[in-house]
Amino acid sequence: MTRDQTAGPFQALAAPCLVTVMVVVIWDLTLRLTGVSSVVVPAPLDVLHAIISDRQVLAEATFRTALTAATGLGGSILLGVCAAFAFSQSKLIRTAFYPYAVLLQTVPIIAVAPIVVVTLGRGFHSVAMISMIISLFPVITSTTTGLLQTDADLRELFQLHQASRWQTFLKLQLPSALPYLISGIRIAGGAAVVGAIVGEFFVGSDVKGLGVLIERRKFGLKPDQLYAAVLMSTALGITCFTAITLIGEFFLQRFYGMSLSGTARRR
Amino acid sequence: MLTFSDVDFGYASGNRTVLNVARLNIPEGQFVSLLGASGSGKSTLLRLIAGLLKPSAGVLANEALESGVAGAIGMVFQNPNLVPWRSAEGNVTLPAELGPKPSNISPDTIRELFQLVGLRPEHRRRQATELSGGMQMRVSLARSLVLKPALLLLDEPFAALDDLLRMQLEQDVRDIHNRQQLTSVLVTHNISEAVFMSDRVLVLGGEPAEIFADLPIPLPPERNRQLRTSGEFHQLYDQVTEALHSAASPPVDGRQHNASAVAK
Repeated sequence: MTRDQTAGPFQALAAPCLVTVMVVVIWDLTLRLTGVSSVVVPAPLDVLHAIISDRQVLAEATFRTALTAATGLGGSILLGVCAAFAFSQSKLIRTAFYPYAVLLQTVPIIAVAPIVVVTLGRGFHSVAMISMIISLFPVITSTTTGLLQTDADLRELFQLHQASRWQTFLKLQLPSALPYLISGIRIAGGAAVVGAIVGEFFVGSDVKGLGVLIERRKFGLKPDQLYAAVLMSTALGITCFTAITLIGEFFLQRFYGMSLSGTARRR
Repeated sequence: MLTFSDVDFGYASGNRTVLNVARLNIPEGQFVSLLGASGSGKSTLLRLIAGLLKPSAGVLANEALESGVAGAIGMVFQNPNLVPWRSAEGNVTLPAELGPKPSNISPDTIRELFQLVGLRPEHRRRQATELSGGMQMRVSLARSLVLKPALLLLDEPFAALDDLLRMQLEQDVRDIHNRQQLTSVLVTHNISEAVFMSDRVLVLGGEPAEIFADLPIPLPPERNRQLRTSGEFHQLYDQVTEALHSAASPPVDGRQHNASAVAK
């Protein structure tokens, strides 16, 4: 085992925190040395002050965006698993529909968002839909890969015992695909947050999320408040990713004796 | 119990026949080993018996398969292939949950089964991933026996185990075969294993693969460790080795097999 693989949880937490401290120090020093106006780029302490003084508005906006992103992610998990099930059942279905799944990834969300808003109207459901569209593809592609990579011997065992298609899916394919599904959800989680914020840009004041806050503050004279909203968006994305990773790790350790990085539990 | 008449098998992707079994009968209660070099069609023959592959031509009559009884065939694979998200007990009872009529296995049956394959009761709740390789193989064996099959198919089950464990499991499986009055078919590369466990060894070879030699193993049904050092065992070992060498490099008119060795 290499030294890198033995990194413990303390190191895993300390290393990125150290990078954050370094970035903040460099940011602050650069402003002091170059004399850039705080109207153009605020100092880190100003941003921190804006976060504290504006905490009520930021917390409410973050909560609303998180709720929308969670709804979008939930929808993409549900729809993604159903689509992956269909894809795993027939090569013909895969060949016919997979290009359309790829479209979800390739069409710019900034172009799709207005269409969704025009079609569904302004409101929570439109933003959740945009969030779902942007986060759907990673779930479909990862889950389909997992469903198709079921152990050949186990498939023969199920065939030998005349397992139905449904029994095979529920008792073999879906649990086998769980590590892939979790990997897909991890990627989709970040995308869902991005989708929710982009959706909020288009829907506007009908929803009071971080996207609306950023949109309103972009032309203001208080960039520290804009930075505070952007930082909260980033924090939400990181929280979402970390929460999914921890839940995923728990399930994989509990049921598979392995971690997301593929390390098996020692006997 | 198992009868092959002019059975040919070829994969749909290719036009050629990869296995041809002109005539083969495996009576009830017999332990038969399929021996041969890699690619000699052993696993293909086993999968034809299991019904996982269908013959391209000929007739394959398999009473266990035709009985329609769920779990009439049990199968153990080269790797234990336990489902990692289930406990040892969950893996053993898995076959009962499949098919058109899922059933429950009583705790008493599970306890007996664990005892039969040499697992302790405390292993029941252990997660599959927490078991050693030998224990996993025993769980896999218990899984193959849970529905009380008439036919047990073993596809190189001990290939990845160390010698000591392999010899122990060879004896255990043979004992289970005797006790449960099973018909068993084992695929193996190991001559000693084939002789020790079987009543009959079929040596496969040629292209397309066919049964090159059909050798009876006239050893008593009860097998033990001492048997491996007996002169009779070594004599049979040599005989099977010779057939295996001949199958690997048949004479120019390769289809003319040693008349004394061919199927009875």
